[in-house]
Amino acid sequence: MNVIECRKLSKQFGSKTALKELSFTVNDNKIIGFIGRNGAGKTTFLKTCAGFLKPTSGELTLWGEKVFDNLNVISNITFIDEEIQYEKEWELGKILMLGSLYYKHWDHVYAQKLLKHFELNEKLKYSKLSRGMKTQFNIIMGLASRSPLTLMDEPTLGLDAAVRKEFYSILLKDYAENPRTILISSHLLSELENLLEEIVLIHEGSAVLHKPIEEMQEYGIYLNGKKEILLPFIEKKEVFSTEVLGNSVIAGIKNDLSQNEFSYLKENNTDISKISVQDICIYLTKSDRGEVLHEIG
Amino acid sequence: MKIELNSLKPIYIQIAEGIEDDILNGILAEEEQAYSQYQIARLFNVNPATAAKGINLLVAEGILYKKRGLSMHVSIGAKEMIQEKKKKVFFSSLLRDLFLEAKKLNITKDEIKKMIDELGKEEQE
Repeated sequence: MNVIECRKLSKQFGSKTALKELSFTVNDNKIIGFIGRNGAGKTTFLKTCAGFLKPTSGELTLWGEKVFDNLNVISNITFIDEEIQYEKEWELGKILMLGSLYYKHWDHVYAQKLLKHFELNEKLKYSKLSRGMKTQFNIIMGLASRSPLTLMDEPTLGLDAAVRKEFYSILLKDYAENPRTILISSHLLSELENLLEEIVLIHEGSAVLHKPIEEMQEYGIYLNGKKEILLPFIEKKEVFSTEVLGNSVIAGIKNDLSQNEFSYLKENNTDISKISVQDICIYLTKSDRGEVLHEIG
Repeated sequence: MKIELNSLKPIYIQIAEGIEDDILNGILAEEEQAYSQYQIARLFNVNPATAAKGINLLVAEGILYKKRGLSMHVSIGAKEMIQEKKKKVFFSSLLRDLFLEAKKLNITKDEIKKMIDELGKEEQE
């Protein structure tokens, strides 16, 4: 079943276009990475999805229904980001109580278990928490709400590497036990990528691609070898990057090598390594693709 | 079983090969229950769908089978199937890489043969 369906969705803030005819579809029960550079429109999309913003044009439906002003749909969505504000005096325990009233699928026992796990006291006031603690509490809200559609905007901001790792494993365990659609936007793609089933890459408000993570992981390769072999070789290829270093070249290309080409490169001592998904995303959202060769030294 | 995140090999293939290695090494015996997609997902922090993809590769080849529609088990004859498959890879790719590397280092075929003989002797001792 399609959870998110977006058709030519546009959002305008005055003269600024945040989303430009964005179209893509997300099926249920997947963890999706929502990736893009700063200002690509990630947060605007997530907020539109959560019902906070009204589309300027185009259509966004969740489970086949329009979102904006539709409480029936909105109570099935959780959106967490670092900007969440609560009343100054509210304690964590109280916010969790309110969560149980607000979210249809809330699991209070689980929420309290997580609170204990992250060593947060329910008497603490949210407004008094450090940035890292706020992020941890937002994660608790995001997971315990168990919403069929959970939107997480940079959920690991301000967390150290150890806690981030913990979050990833808690998320996976909870997802395995309670499958639901989880959309995560993050700039730490290298840490996150193996948690994801699919990636949606957006750039300047439009979707560049939407692919299974495995396809992205095989999308590009670096060739590192002799200049006289590689420069003619990559002429017929889609090239993302080239670095010339004396007589050797490192070229990032689209991975569409035939078995023969592969053997040819190996016989000519070319080293082949993979381009990380993070780097592929950077190349695909560069404004000056197919840049000019430049020599070092 | 281990996973090399920077390898050219897709994660799900590494998962399949990891299970195969465990069968070859006797860590997983034939007829025994193999790992579930969720166990693998949690062990390596990978998406359960990725883990399932690796497992399903082995199901398609008949190395694993689903018992009563629930748990994954190692097929009878799985070890032999994997050995046959790996032999082919050994000749087509591993041996080839060895010769390429030898050529780079100026090692002759005779020298390689000698080394293999010596390794064989060590094994026997």
